[in-house]
Amino acid sequence: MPLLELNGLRAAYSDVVEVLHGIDLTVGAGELVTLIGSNGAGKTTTLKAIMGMARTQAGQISFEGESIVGCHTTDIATRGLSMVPEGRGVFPGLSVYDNLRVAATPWIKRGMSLTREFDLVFDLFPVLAERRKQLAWSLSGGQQQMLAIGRALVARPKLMLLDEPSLGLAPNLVEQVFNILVKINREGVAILLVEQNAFMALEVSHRGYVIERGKVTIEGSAEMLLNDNRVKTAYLGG
Amino acid sequence: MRRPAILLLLFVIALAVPLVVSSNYYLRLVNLALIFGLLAVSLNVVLGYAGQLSLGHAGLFGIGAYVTALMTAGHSGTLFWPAFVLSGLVTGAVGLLIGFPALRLKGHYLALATLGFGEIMRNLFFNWREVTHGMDGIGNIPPPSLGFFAFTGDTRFYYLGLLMLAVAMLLVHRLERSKYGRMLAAIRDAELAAGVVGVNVPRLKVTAFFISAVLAGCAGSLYAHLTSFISPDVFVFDVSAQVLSMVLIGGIGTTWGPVLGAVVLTFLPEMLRVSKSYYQLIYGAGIAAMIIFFPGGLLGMARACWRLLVAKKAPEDVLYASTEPSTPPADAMSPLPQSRTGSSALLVAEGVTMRFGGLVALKDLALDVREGEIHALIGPNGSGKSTFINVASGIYTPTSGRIAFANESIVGRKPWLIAGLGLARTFQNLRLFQSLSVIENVLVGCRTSDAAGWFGVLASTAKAKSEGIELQRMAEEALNFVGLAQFRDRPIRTLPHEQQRIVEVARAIAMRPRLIMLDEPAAGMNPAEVDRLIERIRRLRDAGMTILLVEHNMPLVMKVADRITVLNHGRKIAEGDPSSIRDNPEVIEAYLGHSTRKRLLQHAAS
Amino acid sequence: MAQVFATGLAMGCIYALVGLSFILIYNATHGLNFAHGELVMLSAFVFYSAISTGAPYWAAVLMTFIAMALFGAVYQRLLFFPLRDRPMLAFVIATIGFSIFARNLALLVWGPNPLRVPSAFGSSSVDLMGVVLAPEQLFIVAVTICVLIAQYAVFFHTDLGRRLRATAQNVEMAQLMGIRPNRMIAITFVVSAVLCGIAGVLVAPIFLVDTDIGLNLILKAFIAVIIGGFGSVPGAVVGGIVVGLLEILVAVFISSVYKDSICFALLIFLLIAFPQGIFGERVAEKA
Repeated sequence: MPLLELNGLRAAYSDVVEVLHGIDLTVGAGELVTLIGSNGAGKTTTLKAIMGMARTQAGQISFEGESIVGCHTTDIATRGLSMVPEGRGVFPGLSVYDNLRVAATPWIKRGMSLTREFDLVFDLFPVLAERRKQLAWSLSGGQQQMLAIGRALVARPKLMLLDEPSLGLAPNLVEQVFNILVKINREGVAILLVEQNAFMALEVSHRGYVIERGKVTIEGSAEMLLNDNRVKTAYLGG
Repeated sequence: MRRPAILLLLFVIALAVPLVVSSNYYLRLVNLALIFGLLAVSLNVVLGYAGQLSLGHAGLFGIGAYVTALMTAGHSGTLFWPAFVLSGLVTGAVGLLIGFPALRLKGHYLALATLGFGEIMRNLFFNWREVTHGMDGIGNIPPPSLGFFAFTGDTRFYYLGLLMLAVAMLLVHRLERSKYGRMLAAIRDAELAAGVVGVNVPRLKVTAFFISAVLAGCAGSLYAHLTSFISPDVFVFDVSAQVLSMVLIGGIGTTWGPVLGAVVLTFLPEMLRVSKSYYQLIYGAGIAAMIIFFPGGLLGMARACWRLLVAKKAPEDVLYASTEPSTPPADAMSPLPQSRTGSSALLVAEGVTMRFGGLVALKDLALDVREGEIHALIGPNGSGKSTFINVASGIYTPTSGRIAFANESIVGRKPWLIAGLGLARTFQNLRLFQSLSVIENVLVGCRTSDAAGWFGVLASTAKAKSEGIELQRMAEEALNFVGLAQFRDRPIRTLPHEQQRIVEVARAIAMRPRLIMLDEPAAGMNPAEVDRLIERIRRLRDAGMTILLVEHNMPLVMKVADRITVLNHGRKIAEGDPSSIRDNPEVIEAYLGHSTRKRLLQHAAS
Repeated sequence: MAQVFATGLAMGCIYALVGLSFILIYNATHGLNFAHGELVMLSAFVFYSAISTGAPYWAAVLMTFIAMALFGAVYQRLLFFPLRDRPMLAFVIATIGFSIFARNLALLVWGPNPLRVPSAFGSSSVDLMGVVLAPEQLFIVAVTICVLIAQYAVFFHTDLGRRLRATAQNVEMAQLMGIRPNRMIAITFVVSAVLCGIAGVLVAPIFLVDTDIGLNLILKAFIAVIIGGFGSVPGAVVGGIVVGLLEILVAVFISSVYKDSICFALLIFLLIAFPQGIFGERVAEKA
């Protein structure tokens, strides 16, 4: 049984700009899967639909075998699904530590200790440990992205959804972010990644999907996609 | 067309009102509704069109009323005419005074400042007894008269009030549909972007306040002559709030909405008087309920009903905009007026330092962009690239240093003046005018050399009309150039992200700039889209524009840039052609990273 | 002079409390609650009724707080909740409508005549280092300090406080962190209404309670909030005290008739001279 399974998902987001016309997709436990496609093809809507933030009109979304269609975002988030949205979404007026702490609160309320998760985050991102008392808005773009990923990580996800983590980052930082995603994946966290930087994303992924106009048009192993001529011309830049 | 027929019908109904309404009491209410309609139209100019919330309109209304009362009380009604004009002008002058703080204040700050203004005026009306007679008020204000004909009685006054309101509505309607209306909408939606496409933001805002205040003063004058007695308790915050409710309940930003709201809110309390002690209670709750249940106001609701009942509503077909741009003809853009002077420096920055508190964003930066080149500015996040664009476009004033554009210093110049010199830009996070269509967005950037002024626009002169046509042509040309002509009338928000970025470019080139600064135009684009972007950037250069490009997308930078400048921590660490930058060890260390460089080399080889 | 100062300080503390509770709602919803003064007015009336039943002081206070907490929850559900996705202006108008409603409701229930609420301290006075002060004033200052400390502790050192602040800063992201934003906003309104309850209980004995006290309080609280920098909690407190002192100094030394005009003129001057306030809104607009 895959960790996450989408079956014939049809969904609308906000007005009518992006629509899904039946997406089939799976992510297995511990897998790193990339979604690529043009702007407006429906990648972000797919992530939002999974998190209950887009109107699902038909189809199934199941997580660990249970349907999560119609569930409230808050409930989905506490089931072990973490999303890092485009633009990072850190809480600007909260300190680095408080940002992480907010994400950990549902678990702390259940009496769990999250020392291991905090240690892991500070281990992966030493810069966050140095700046734990600094307010998030004063971090640079790269550091904010790290905080956003770290924050998703302390929420003990089984699956992490990332929307364009490389957006607006300098090339060397992009490399760093992808390296960290691989490390997180090796810790056993499955990752579903939406990325315009298709080449780098597929290089670190196990599998990939191409979404065009609200439908999956190509799917396969990352190697297969990297060598597919259609993918090459449209998404890898020749 | 159905519209003229409806207007004619409304006109006939309006003329017939005094014949139908025989009770003097109700006719008085009708007249009050006209006056509050005028006041609501006045508030709508600043609130609906310019997006500036004023809570002090009762104060302006009061000034108009007191000016007219002081001039005419106990005198002949013929004095009405000069007093009416003077009321408008004096109030307009006060409007200028409160317009100036509006330049620095946004949203709730302005709301509270105008609230304070209203309270000060109320205090003055109450306490400056030597002039206003305090609570005793001023009586004996004559009805307006014209020669031997006096507008005595509510029926005669009605036609005068109706005429004034109709004229005001016509002028405001023209304003809304004009270039100034678009500029106000631009300020409302994205003030910063309005400035950099050449809109003189402070002048427009102050003008909007002026127009609004003149109308409010005229309403005050009419009020004084209608009731023949005024006292301070009419000009209190509750009235400001009431007028605000009229605008919102009627339909904000529309021509008819404020008047409709005024009529409803003037008659509603009277209808409720049946339950004497409860009517204020119901009135308050009613305002809250209207806002909650009818978001678009009465006019919005009426339109929705109309669409539902009469017009067959076709669902908007915007599911998938074609992401393929049409191929425009090669010479879609008329040549630029400036002659190109080869490789002379167009934009020169020397020793530019920009500090924010303790943070140094730019440190002693020297940069020159030569005419006709594509110059890329790259560097890590927070290295000062966007700060440089903000400094060069006049959004920030540098702490020290010199920047010259086409041999003119631009340090300390306002964004719209710099835009006027021919320096355009786009924004990293899109800043489009969300309430406008694609072509209207572009139109905000268009200028003719022989522009019609306010008078021309309000009087709808031939010159203003031909200017409108010329602007339209220029905007279409810019849209054709970038290949977005087929989307011209679409609302901005229905376009996919890539296209929205291109609309920003179209808006910038509609100004016919000599230099255009693009701030991360490829962000969020995939390689196929980036390839199209490369084509467009090259075509801009071929049309005679110089380009300064801030971008993280290295394949794009390597393909299009003639020269590259690399910043790190606000300093220049390298400058040169693409291949020398790619192999510069300091650049690789600070920015590029080894695997990106490797990939770029593979790219170059293939 | 010391008495004047103490009176100003006590009034300033009231303004600070009203400003502070106003800012809580603003920070959580970006809405300006124009009916905020009416919340204080209602709580002063409720407190009057509670005292009139013959209940002891503390019981009357408790009843007022409970009533205000319930009221805050209902107010949020009826007025804010339906408008949460609409422009700020809609909420502003709705609250203006509510303030008209509340004032007339109070008029119907409690009548037009100003009501006198007895002071818990009688007419005794306290001698503090040679200065004779009313215990009422000391009490107001002490309560304000306690409220501030409690508020700071809750917002900055508890998980609930972090979640409240997180929701105020980014609702969508808060959901993704497993927070229920509607619950957080409801809590904010309840806390804010109880703070209004405190202000009402404190203000009732020193003013005559009538339907107009709310308007005066909210206008002064606006000035306080502007002086302190919109959204800043310490700013609202400092601003409130400044307004309280300024008002009494102007009244004593310049003109009691024009004291409000002078306060508002100062407000406008401050707005123009220091658009960011003393403590400033931190996050500047970035291009």
